[in-house]
Amino acid sequence: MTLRGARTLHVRYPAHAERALKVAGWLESHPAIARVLYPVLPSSPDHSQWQSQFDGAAGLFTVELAGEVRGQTKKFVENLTLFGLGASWGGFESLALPCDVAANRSVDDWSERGDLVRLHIGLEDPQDLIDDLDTALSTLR
Amino acid sequence: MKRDTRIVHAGRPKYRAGSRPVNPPVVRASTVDFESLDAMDAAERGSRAGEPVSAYGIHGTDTTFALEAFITELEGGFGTKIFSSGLEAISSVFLGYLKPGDHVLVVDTVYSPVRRLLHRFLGERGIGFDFYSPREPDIQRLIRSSTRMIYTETPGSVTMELQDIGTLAQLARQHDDLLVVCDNTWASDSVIGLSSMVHTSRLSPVPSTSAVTRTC
Repeated sequence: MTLRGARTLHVRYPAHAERALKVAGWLESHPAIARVLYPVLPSSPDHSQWQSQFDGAAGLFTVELAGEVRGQTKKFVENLTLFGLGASWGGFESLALPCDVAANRSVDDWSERGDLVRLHIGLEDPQDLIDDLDTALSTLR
Repeated sequence: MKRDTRIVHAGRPKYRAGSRPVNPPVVRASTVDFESLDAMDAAERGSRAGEPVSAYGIHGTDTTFALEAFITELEGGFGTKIFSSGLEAISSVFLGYLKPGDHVLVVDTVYSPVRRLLHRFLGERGIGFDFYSPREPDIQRLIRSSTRMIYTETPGSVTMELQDIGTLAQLARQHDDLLVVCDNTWASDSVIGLSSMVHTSRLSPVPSTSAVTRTC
């Protein structure tokens, strides 16, 4: 199964990356999002390193929610209708996963940062995913 | 051949009697039965030497060998060993290359089960470890005389900070016996183009999750 999937990886991955960049770019400008952690974005502090080291990208990135909507990740992800809730990536389906990153860092302090949700952008039309995210984010206050 | 062609053609079955299945058939086995002791000895020798020969089912079958050959081809590596989970692959890298008294530097953004593995298992068995920030500007200062491995992941798990593998490899090259191990799970074999890794020789790429690099 892995080998069969791998045969088309080079066709699927650019499609994931193209959609993910579009969705990530939209999320960056949303008031409920403090930051989008994705080296593919030109605004990322790692962008030039990404350009020099990578030929492509996965459709997986993380959003840091704004401080004003702290504690509302459950509401956010459960209001998504096109995203499943799960930990994987590289599949055809979009997924969301709240991440408690502060518990998994011992050098860098993430405790004062906004809540994190990792998103995998699947092969749906990116505008439908954006509309779904917009609706779910609009329920936060 | 260019990458896309290699992706399509690597690890395909050989023609037998003029035909072949497009994909390798699923071969499952525990015990392997040999026609003679000579055949058994040959298979065991081949298996120990890392050849795609099945001497015992758990060590691989034609199906898993095909996937391993595919990944080796994509990575341009020496060889591949596949495991049934990422943590199993990672554990095998630690257990294979570290012994009690050794020290490993681990990036703070590591896949979180590795943190548990270090705290609850390897640490109790005499493996020392320290975490370093993915933004650490001077890794050299963290290297001890007992440091045998720098274990990194790029982009970092969840928070996505990149690591400069080339700089890490250069640093490791200045020490005798220091491995750089990179969990390559995000980029995956077919998209990452770590041009900065050109001057390292890969000891053993670990499928779907990690690539082990050893500096020359």
